[in-house]
Amino acid sequence: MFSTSIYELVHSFSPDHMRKDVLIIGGGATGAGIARDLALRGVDCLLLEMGDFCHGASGGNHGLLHSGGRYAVKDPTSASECALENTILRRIAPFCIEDTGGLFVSLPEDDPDFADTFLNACRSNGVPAEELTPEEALLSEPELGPRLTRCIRVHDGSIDPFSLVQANVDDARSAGAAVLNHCAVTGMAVEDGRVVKVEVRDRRGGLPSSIMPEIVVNAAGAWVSEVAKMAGCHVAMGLDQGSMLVMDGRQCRHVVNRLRPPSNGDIAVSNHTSTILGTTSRPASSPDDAAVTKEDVDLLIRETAAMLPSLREGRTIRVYGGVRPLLGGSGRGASRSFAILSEDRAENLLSVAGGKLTTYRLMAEKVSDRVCEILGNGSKCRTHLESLGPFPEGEGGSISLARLGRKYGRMASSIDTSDPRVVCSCEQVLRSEVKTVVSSGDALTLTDVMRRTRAGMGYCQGLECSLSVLEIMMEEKGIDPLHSMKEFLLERERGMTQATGDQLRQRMLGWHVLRGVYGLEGME
Amino acid sequence: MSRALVIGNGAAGTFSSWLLAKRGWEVTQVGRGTPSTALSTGCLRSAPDVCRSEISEFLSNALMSMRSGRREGISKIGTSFQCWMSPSHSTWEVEETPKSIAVVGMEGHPSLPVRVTAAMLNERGIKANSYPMQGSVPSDMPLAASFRNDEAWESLAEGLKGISEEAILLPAIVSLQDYHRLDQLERRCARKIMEAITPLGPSGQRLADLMQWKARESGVTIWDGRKVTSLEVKGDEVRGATVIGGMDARNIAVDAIVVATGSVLVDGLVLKERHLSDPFSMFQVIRYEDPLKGGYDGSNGRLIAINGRTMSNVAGAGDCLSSEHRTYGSGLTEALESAYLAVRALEEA
Amino acid sequence: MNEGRCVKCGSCLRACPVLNDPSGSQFPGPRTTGVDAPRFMERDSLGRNVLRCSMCHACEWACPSGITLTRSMLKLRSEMSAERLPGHRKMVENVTSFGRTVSTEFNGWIENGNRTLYFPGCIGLGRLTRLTSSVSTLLTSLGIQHDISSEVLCCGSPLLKIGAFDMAEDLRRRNLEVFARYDRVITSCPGCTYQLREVYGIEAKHVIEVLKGSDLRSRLEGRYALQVPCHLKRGLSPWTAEDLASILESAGVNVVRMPREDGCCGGGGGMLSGFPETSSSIARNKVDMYRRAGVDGVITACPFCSLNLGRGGIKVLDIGEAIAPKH
Repeated sequence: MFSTSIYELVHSFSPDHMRKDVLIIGGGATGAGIARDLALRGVDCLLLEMGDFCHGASGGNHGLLHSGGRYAVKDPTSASECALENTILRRIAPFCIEDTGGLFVSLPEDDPDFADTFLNACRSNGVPAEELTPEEALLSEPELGPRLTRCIRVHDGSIDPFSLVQANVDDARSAGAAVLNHCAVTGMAVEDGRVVKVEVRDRRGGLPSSIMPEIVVNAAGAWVSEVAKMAGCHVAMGLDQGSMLVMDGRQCRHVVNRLRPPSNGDIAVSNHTSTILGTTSRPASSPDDAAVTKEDVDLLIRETAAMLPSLREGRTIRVYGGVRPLLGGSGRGASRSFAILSEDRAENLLSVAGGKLTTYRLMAEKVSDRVCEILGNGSKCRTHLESLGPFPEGEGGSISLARLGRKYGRMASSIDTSDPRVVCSCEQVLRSEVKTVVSSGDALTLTDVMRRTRAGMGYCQGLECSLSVLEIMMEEKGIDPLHSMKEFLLERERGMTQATGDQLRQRMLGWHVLRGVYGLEGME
Repeated sequence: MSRALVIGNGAAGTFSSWLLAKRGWEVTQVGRGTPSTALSTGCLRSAPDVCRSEISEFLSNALMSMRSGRREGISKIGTSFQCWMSPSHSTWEVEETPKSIAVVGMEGHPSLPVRVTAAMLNERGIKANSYPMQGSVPSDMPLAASFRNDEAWESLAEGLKGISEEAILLPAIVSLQDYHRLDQLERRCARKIMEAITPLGPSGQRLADLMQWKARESGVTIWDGRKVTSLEVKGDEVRGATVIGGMDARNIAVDAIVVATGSVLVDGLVLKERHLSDPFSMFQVIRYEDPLKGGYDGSNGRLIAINGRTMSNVAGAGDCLSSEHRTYGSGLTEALESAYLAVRALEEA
Repeated sequence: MNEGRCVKCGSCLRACPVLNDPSGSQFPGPRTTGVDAPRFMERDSLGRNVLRCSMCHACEWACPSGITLTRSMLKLRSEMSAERLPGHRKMVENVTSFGRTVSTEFNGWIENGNRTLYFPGCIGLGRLTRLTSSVSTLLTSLGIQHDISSEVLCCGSPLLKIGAFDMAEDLRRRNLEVFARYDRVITSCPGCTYQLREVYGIEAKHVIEVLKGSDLRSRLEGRYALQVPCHLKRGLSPWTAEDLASILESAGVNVVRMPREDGCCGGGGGMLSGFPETSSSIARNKVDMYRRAGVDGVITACPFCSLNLGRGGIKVLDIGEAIAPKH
């Protein structure tokens, strides 16, 4: 069952103030992981996310389940953390992980010694790695260019962060946590070195305007500093922007990495129906400074195509940027590790900074341990033991049915599969999926539906399906169609400003239909 | 008789063919794939400045009457659509907006999202209610396929009984040959029957079919599913063309050519990255920031060779010509006008 | 493969004879099969529904982006792991036992060492022997001496459509040994012709190409429409397809042209044996169209069209049955 308990929870609150043991701010992987961990330990908690889950870095990354290889040389702590968590996640959340395996590939222009440094570092840090000959490499990954010099295989995988985070949210709710998206924290009141009240604005209008928590966990990712400032606290963090692009089709079987000191354009990850190429690194001036430049796009294609030549002819359907919250500065040198920070000024405000998607569960465990220590709750973490969802088993008969398990995990069984009609052809999304997602209460916008179903993520970027999804939303609940449509298409547009070739043709067809015929202005 | 080769099977190409045939040319029209005309709404957004009577004659036919003036229709999402000329059931005269509309469509089929459309109409002050027909037609199946026989229309007419709204808005489901069914339905229901303005559907194909029919009737030889791969040039003249189709190829001799191959959408022009170019690698192309506007440089309707010489017997028409003023969602009127100018240019040469 | 060029215009869907038939709702359609499915890890899950396609090439012809949809759909078929349809199993059994897709009824073999081979194809040697006889008679009366060899087997095209590659290759090998004895091969079936040219590398000529330019007459009275075979027009040559009409008109047949004369009969691509209901539904639709035009019959140049439309309840003649030499 998708949780309909949101409204129950909301309506059970007293009108003006709400007491909670723990308020978690931020619905990315970290926040959702903490909510799940605490709920499984019986802690009364509420998670608020100002946008939709995965609003920040959790929704703007590679979708890479790190083997740890990438950090073995420069950041050994992160490397071993990744290696361990990789195994755990494969055990507890197999549905949202594609077991692609990973290859690190070097080319003639790369430092020839790095491969050995890499192998040694992997071995010292518990990152399983084995070398393949170029012939073996080409056999297992035919798309690799013939220029490769050395190749090391690791346990990288690709992961769907939206499915992962949603599963954490669902599990947290099952265990009694209240989790709400589209609820923003707007201010905090501090008294005697403690946060006593947190002001809240709920887009749905159901939540009382202030919460009174015992402990506030600030898991707001790139917004951690902004949130901490509400309580007068200062968290030193680096914001680093990385650009990624989505290429249509699965361009490689494995995750393909560049075997050289970490640099730009090192990674290609196939997930669902596309390949994500990344990434770059520059300082970001704010959490919303995620803009991607043409130079970024050219670089990404150039560098990744050096490893996988067919990428040069690939169709880039979208570009996006993510802002990474990094501890202690920005840039490639900054640690990917994480820390839990608090100040005397507001001793019950715990800010979580740094980290990465692959180690979200570990971060959540550490934070939850600390929270429980403060609360005097002696329970131990169970998140590495409890399953988030089963190994994916697809039904036959259609692609839609076959992919349900992978996208929805445990929740796949609540989707009515008797109606075979597909609403999004690019991603083969069923009408029933959209109906189920909309009636769950979490999805207020077309983009919300997109994150949960993938409708609109394909190469036509919503041209075909947006109207049909909108129609279903209107069937299930009344929304402003014009506003919703424009909001969604503008968001999709933002990723197509760099469109070239066939994607530019696609965009032009979209403009003919949406701007020209339907008259939906303001699409530029 | 002089032989003309028209390359392109959309509005610009077909109108060129028709005009040339009427002026006594022996015309062969070569085209491949679906032209933009067939993807369009089938309506002319603006009134033509030249050749208005020729266009009216070209489009007049016994199967589907066309109306022109200040016309307004409803798009399939419920927004207002204004144009100069359309089939009779697509628009009304601007002052005659219906006060109430019944939005009727197949439940869950993309041809007409009835609730969205009704909501948009209500938001604009037009009283509208949605009437989803029960059914389970897959999204990729054209709805028109379910409305090919008398039983389906009978059933539809029955279902519309008792609708109190002044007008009924239907999805686009009729071909040229079946257009009369809308007339019949209107008589039967005693209500105004409107067809939602629909791109990428039967409405555009219908217009393209009509144009091809008129061209054939006037003696044009239509070579469908074929593509001109190269042109034989002598000085500033094109004297021949190589045409391929299936596993076959033919060479033909020509006295004049109209290039009406369309935009990048239909591969009439080549778009590599953001760079526009001529698929024949022969003629000059003007490029703009927006690839919509880019296309062949047509000096007085005639194309210019890469070496700068104006071709004496090659004219360009339609979307493949550059046009600074071209906008999204329109193009039929401009295409027809440019075809008229292209033919005139060839005759003057 | 260039299916990455798709801009979602939907032209292929509007052109597809299966999607435009009420019985075609289980066919995922050319776009899902040829463009979208290849991008999925789960593409095999479409299963046997991808076979609900008559391989008529209408989608490919309609595509403004020039996507080779038919080839892409064939590729998906070739990777399919689902169990064969009963009709296809039978076809494979037949080929295994006696080298043809249907049982052979023809017994007028000509094995006289002529340099020209007439290759009727499995349907012509099986269910439509009158087609074979009439073409043979016609060729002879035009002075074209020919063999009809009993050693020639199925061209292999239907086997390729259902992914039976080894079988198709074996047939090719064995047929080539027979073809080696001849200078010229004439065919009745556009599907065979395409196969022989494309896969065997032999310059096989379809009957229409042989008849073009000959002095012919027809005794047919009444009005006849055309069924222009898909694999003739969209596979071999649209010009040769046009020759069908011009040959008949020159011979004095009252030919009634109509817009959808080149629409699929529903018989190709393994549909006839694999999905007989859909196949006959499509055929019936075409027959309704011809009936509404009030013609006395339909003339075609493909055994599958002859067979499938004939079953739809209209008089169908192969070109060999419609004409004879003038003198």
